[in-house]
Amino acid sequence: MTVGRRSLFFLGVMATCLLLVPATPGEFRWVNYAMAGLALFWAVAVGIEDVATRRDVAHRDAARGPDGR
Amino acid sequence: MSAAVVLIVAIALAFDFFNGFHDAANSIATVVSTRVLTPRIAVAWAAFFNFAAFVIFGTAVARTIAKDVVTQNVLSNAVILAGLIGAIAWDIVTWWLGLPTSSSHALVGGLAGAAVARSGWSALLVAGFQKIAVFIILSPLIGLLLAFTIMVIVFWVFHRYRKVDRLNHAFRRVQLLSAAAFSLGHGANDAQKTMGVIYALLLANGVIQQTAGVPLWVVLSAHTAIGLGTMFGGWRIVHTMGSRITKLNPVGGMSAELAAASTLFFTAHAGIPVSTTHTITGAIVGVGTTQRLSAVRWGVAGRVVWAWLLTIPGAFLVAWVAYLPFRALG
Repeated sequence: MTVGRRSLFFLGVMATCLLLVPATPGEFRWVNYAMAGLALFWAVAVGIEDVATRRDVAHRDAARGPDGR
Repeated sequence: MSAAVVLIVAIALAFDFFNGFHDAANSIATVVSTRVLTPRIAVAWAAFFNFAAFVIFGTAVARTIAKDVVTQNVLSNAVILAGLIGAIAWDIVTWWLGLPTSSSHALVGGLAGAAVARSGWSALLVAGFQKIAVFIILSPLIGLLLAFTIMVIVFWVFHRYRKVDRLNHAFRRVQLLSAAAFSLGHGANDAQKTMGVIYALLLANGVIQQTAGVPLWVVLSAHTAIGLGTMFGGWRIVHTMGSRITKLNPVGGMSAELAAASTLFFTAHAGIPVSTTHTITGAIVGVGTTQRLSAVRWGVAGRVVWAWLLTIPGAFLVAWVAYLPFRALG
């Protein structure tokens, strides 16, 4: 199973938010954590959607048969 | 007030006017590109809410600009004037090239460059710079994630609704409100940067006490200047923001503006000077990402990112050079 590009994109956003934590003033670090959490949520949700879509396409292709009908 | 102070206040207000001209176009880009409003009406709508922002928001961002970027003892008429020259020169170059860069960061870079030219690197306040630098990256990411979230919620709530034309029509009306919210956030954030410069100038000249707040005439004149600047807005940048990053429909435009407005309300309240340009660009990318990553024109977005990265160093350098004649004059 491969991870979709959008999931990777959101994981990248999450990593950026977390990497900025040490540089962020203490009173605003909750923003980094909240945004990293939101990015992780969307990475997982988009990943699940990608897998489900791919499975649907595979099922449809299998139901059509080898001649594509 | 001396003639020099009056002259620098006038230049700061001219910068604010140009900020409106250069940046405020972003707040109407989505309503224009989705054809909710004609450019002329959109400009008037945004200008009104730019001005109205002074009723709702405080002056936390102005205080950050005046007190948290460079040390107070280094601020002088020459430093503030050279800082403004750096920011204005950078804005003119990027406007000419059609790049949506940040006037706010140009101002921060300009002030820093002039202060360093006067007193060396010790003139910079690391904590204040750190806060601004972190939110250069965080603000577009917040806009992106919030816009994506709002889009998904809207899709989820209305996914069984079949009358797409009626739905789009309804969202065109909602977009008027989201554009107004974004213009409020823009007015609050960007007008306060000029307020910060004038506030610093008045403090440096002893016109007001160190403990005094930002005078009301400064607040009103800064909001008036940015509102007027918006009225004469820059269409080159509207084009980049509204259609070249990703194609928007009313739902996408509303989501992008609402996400960006929420981000700006938070940063205005917290006293963090962020760029409205950065924030709305991140939000527009977030809307494009709900379709697929290839819906975002990454080439254009990348050009925008380069402009962002160069803004503080570019304005810093111009202001540093602009301060040299003042140093030679003693």
